[in-house]
Amino acid sequence: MILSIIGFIALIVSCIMQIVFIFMKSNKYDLFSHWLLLFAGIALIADIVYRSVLIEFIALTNMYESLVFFSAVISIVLFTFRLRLKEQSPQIIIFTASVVTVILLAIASSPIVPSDIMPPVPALQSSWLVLHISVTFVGESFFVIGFAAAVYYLLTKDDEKKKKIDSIMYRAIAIGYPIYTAGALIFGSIWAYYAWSRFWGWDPKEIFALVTWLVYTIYLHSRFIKKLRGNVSAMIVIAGFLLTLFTFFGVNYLLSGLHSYK
Amino acid sequence: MKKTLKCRKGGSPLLHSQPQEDFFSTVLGFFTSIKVAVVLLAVMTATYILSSLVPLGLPDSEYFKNYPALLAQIIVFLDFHHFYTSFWFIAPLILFFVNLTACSINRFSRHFTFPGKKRFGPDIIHLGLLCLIVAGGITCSGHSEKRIFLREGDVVTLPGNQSIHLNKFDYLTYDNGRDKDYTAFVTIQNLESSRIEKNQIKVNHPLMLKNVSVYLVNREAIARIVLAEPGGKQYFNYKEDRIPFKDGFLYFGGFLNPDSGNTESYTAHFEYWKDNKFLYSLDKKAGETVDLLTLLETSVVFIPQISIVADPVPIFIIFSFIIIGAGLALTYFQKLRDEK
Repeated sequence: MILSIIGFIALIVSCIMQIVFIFMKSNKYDLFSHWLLLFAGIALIADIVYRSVLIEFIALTNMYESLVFFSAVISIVLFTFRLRLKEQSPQIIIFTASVVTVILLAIASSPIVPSDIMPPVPALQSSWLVLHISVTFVGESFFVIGFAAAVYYLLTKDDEKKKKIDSIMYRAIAIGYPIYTAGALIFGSIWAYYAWSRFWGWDPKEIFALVTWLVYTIYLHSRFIKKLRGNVSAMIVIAGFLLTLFTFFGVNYLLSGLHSYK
Repeated sequence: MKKTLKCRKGGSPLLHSQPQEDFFSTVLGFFTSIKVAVVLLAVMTATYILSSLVPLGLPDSEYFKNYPALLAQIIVFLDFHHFYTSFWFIAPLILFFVNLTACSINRFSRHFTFPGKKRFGPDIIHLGLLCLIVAGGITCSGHSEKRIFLREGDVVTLPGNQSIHLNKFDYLTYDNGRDKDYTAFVTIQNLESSRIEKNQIKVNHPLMLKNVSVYLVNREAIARIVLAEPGGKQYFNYKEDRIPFKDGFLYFGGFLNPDSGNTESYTAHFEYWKDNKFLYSLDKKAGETVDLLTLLETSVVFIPQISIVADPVPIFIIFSFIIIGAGLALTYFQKLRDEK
């Protein structure tokens, strides 16, 4: 828990630093905020490792652990994203994605998400499940960047800037999409086959994972249709991310199914 | 015949024979359109979301009971309560399949007709998706599943002239009472060759046999009693068992006070039936007698629920996944190479 708190604090400090440099309209001198993101990611991963040692299994089997892991992956992806694009990376995109990460961790630390260290029930003791969850979150962390870029795209009026943001949005989704496909749909189906004897059962979680995938598929294909390029594409990406969040939270709390483990 | 390239607005370039500006090429052109693909994907997205909001498979009357009349009428009229066998599920899927097939053929033909960069990644993904839809369809029609609870000593016949015998069921819990692990120890007998093989089944680790797979899917607590004859011979009986008794049978209905916590104090409830007629009931505790039988022990034990599954094409689905995975990887690396 202490490691998560350290990670949370590092993320907040990083956000504060980022916002200062956004107001200064330059990230030339922002040498640390992305390193803080990396540090936060490592601290959060360390928390998962610690919990894994305690339960003698990869600690990715409840909402708290999933949120911490998801936040860790987003932080690390944001760090590499910033490092790769250097000064070209629009600060607002990284800042928005960092804020999403802070919100996810805030939810993890809220009373609605119990943080008790609980060893997994038999159905969750599967390496396919670990692959399914971890790879899905890696894919979804790119969707967070896509979402941040889409929001920025809709708020920007400068055409040159829009072009650049569109390219970032597309790249984020183009990287996240295959990873999400493998994690959520392929590895998820294989786990379902071993656990429940069928690859697909139209469980609410499965339906919404598929719907999320379909929306991002629409986005990738909409780029070939002139009328759908630009604002519509950005709105599709936002819809895709909202569905990602609904698949993660909404289905668990609003729709019951096989993915609810007590 | 001279071949020309025709470009449809919003669609893909289409190779066709010039004089035949006919219905066939219009239909083919329609199905190779990416706009149609996007519309179909959007329709599928919308209908899947709607399907998750309506409880499926209930009798019509339930919808009229739980929803406003108009909404219930719409659900029943559109057959939305049987979504996965309805027009709303099947029609878009078939159209999508046709669209994907047409697009794939069109893209492949372009690769071999026109020079330039060849991107086979998306084609491989499309091919994998087509295989997956076909394999899914076959699985849907040929998949059979039977779930049963097995008690220690039970024998069940399996497809493929085999039988499964439950020898023992191990059930472990964590300190807080949550399930930790359960294992069913079974014997599989081939009824033709009389070959016997001992195996164990765990959750997430099904037993794959010829033509059939056996899964351990759940466990259930069940009331159990031990009855002894005057000679000392003991019998294990479970809830809902019919025990031969006098000229009829004793039906064991479970315990009257299952939440009392102390298994010793459970009161077993029996009903005596003769010639399909209920005659009287008996409530007995451990140590008491039922005519000549002595109730030796009352307890609650866990029994496994197993699922016997015959699936014609799991390997095709795995094969489709491999194709899709390969397509995704190829697309990704081609893009990466292009960017460099």
